[in-house]
Amino acid sequence: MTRQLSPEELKKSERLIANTLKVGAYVSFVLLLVGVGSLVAKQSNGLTIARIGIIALLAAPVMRILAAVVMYAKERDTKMILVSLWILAVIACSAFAGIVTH
Amino acid sequence: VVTTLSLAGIIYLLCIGVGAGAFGALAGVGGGAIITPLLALYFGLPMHQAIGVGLVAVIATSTASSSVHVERHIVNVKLGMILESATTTGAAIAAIIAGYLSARWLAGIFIAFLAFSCYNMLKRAWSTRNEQLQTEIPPYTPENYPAGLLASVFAGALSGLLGVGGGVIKVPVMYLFMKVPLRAATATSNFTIGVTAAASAYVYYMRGDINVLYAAPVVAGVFAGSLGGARVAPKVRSTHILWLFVLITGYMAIQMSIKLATGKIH
Repeated sequence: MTRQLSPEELKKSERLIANTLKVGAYVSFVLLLVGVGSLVAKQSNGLTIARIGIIALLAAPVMRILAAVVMYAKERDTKMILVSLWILAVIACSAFAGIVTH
Repeated sequence: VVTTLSLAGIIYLLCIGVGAGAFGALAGVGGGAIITPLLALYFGLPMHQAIGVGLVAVIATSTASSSVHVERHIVNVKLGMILESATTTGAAIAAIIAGYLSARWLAGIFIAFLAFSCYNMLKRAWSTRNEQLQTEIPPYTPENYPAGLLASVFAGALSGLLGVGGGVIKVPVMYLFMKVPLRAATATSNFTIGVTAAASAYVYYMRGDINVLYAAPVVAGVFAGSLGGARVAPKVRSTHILWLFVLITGYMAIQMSIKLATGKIH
């Protein structure tokens, strides 16, 4: 079922994960800098921008798991697809639990 | 609820973030372990909110450093994700339980964690005092997955309970029991803590325990610190960083104990 990948192929397929993390990090970093800058300048929207930055950061790990699902689907690695989906399910449950126990 | 911060306050928070981010990048430990007690001790932030900021900082450290480490192929992505299935489960359950624990209980558990981390790093600093930096990773196959998964549930629970990464537990278990080379174990642990912290951060966020006003400057600092730290990492002797970590965690364990004993933690 699982196709054995050469080291080169492995590196290439993992680049999707690396890039997802990079985008998440930079988008949230820039938003947070702008948000904190606005807070220092006493702009009223500073906190909102900062909040979007935090939400972007919270979304990054989930995007990374989704990237992994795509990667393992291409490799037809059923076991790892199930592992990824389990992680997603746990995160979804935890968000739900947070609302319930609020 | 405080809705504004003084300029000095924002600068202090940025500096704490830079320091913690640099620590994370240089020693692979320390984000949440430094941030959470500082915020609870010196900023008067309620314990649950201090943990919330710690969690977000852990995600930032992991995201920033892993984007580089995955590209350089130091992270074992498959191993990391298998362990994540256990860490996230432990983290989510612990984060829910944390909502029902009093701040004094959380502070008590945190002190125990700081003392353990301090002792652990003391051992590591002592044993690696003459060691050369390991640059090449030898080929390896991870062994003993049951031990790794069990330790991961526990590390995840610590993360959800205290807002730390849990690398202090995962790295030695991967290194000693699963026979993963130290550098790969550290990078893989760093990779997993982002998703682990996310599982509990969602609980904290939905519960209203992530204070954006404090989290934003800290996390902006963490990003800057981990990027800068990764850049100077080849030039810094990691033993010095470990000794610094030992001093800071030891000091904060004592400070938190004093505040807990005198009833100043809420």
